[in-house]
Amino acid sequence: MAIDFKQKSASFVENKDRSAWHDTALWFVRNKRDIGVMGVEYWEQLRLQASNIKTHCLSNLDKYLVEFEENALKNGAIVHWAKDGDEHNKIVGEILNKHKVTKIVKSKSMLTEECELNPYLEKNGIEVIDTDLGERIIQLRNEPPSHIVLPAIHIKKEEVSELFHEKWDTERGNNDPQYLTYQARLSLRKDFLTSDAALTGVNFAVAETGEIVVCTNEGNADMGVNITPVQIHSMGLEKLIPKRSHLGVFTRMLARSATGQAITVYTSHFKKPKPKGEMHIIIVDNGRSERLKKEGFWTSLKCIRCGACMNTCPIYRRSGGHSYGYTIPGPIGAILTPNINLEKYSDLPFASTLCGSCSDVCPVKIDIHNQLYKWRQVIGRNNVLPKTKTIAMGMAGKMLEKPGIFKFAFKMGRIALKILPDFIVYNRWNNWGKGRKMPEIKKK
Amino acid sequence: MNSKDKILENIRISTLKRQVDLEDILSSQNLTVEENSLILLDKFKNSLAGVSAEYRFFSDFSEAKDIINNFFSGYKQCVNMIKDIAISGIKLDELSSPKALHPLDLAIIKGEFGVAENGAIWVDAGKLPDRAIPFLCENLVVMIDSNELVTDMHQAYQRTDTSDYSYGVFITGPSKTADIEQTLVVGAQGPKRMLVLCKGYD
Repeated sequence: MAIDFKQKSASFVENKDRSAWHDTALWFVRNKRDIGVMGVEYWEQLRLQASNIKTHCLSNLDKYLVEFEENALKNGAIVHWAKDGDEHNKIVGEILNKHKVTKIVKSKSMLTEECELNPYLEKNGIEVIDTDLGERIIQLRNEPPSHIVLPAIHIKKEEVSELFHEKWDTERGNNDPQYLTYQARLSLRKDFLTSDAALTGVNFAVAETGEIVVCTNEGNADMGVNITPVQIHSMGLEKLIPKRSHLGVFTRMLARSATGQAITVYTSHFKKPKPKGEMHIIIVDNGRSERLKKEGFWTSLKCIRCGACMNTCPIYRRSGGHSYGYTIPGPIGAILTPNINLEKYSDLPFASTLCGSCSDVCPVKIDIHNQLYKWRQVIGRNNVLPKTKTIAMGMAGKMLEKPGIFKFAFKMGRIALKILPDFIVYNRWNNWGKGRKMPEIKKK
Repeated sequence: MNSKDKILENIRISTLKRQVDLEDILSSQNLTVEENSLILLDKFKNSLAGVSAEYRFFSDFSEAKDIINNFFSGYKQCVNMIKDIAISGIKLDELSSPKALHPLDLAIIKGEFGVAENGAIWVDAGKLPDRAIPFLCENLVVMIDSNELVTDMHQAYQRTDTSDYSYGVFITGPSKTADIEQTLVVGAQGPKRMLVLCKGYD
């Protein structure tokens, strides 16, 4: 079933207070990003270097992946390759079975969301605890994340309070974020102490040294990995960078772009397994090598998952992450998803004003708004446009071919806007009129 | 064909077409803005304050001990990795698993150097008798030499290039979250307080 963005966002948009609250919360984060970025001299040069490093790496990805594996093996890690999500989940399952693990702690990993790892493990009798606070909240609510950095940005503290009361019997009506965070800390501490394995995502993997880098604020990744005997790191193959010195560029940009922090609280470099421990790295393709082939679109693989494009996007801020129907929402999600399923996600590249703000804030200079525009053309050529768009566009196309008709229609439009009552524009047959307002016509 | 070969073969279809010279990228502009040591220390202190880390300067180890005892009075379980500071901690070689460290009130560890632009401190955590120590503790003390500062992350990675660590972490303040309505809460899963003990004079 194709995602209908308008339909999915309707309930979110209808609640005007909530939509405005969400908009304000994300704009607040966008502002913090601006302050963080302005504190860095040469920010634009940093962006250029980051983008160039990624261009180079993706253009030699086969060599760097082999180099990474060689060095990781030398370090004593065990490296696995997974062509898709199913194979990834199977590998994780086998590692856990081998060690008779019945409970696992996870830190944030959008890749495992993409692979739907949690339901797979639960089906196989393994308890999974997401340990990032935002992720834990949405896990308890049985919901997907609505943002890649701030997974619970759509939820109000009153709802968190109610949820914790129901699950953990915390004080009813205590909505203080400090109190709620502390309650989650107590609960998660028990989970850390009763788990036998830990899984993390990967922010960067260094070919030169075979180490992987994980960035968190809560300390949950380090806690899980260091407290349990088995550590698993799942990485998309685009997380690779050639050299250690390149980390200097990316660690300066990631947190500043994401939340405005100069760096995350923990930037952890996992190189060798702990004494008597086991370290697994799973390199996952799941469509990425196909995406690499697409001229005009492959640069989307540069993404370092900072979420800046979401925080700045006027459509994302007012519609909420769940309207996109995919793990990675917002502008970057809208250019990643058509690679996965053109028909299913054909609506997403249209969920944009093409204002270009996403491209302006992107730390690795992905031309997101251009790619949104290009996807629209691909979608049109492949005849998977939503019907409401094809009829209107067909008519508009005919009109634009003939200047005489266009001039006439334009004149009629000016007159019509003045004299026609609102219900002609804003009715249930005119999709365009939903959520839009006609301009006032000025006298010439 | 196994998955590795399949993936690499599919990647080669693209990479054979595109070539970008790494030398161009590596010889690109040095983006470090050099500062003198006084300004570095000032920036470092500002950065620490900005990440909710507390800091104190000390000249000898008995002073360091007093500072710690004043800061964290009433702690029970403690791990002390700095021999010169006369605070007795638990014996780590008797632990069966890192889980036995819990509950840990206080941990005192060594930091290798600090980063002025963001307040990060490099900790060679692979050298600790247990890697969980800096994360499991409720309160963390990291001791560094105030002469050991670098300007930014570019210099920080140059500096760590020569050390063969098995597990290293930049720690920048106590653990934090803002996952509930963007309200900053200090003390998420890791330490609730962090004291940076700087050897030297303010």
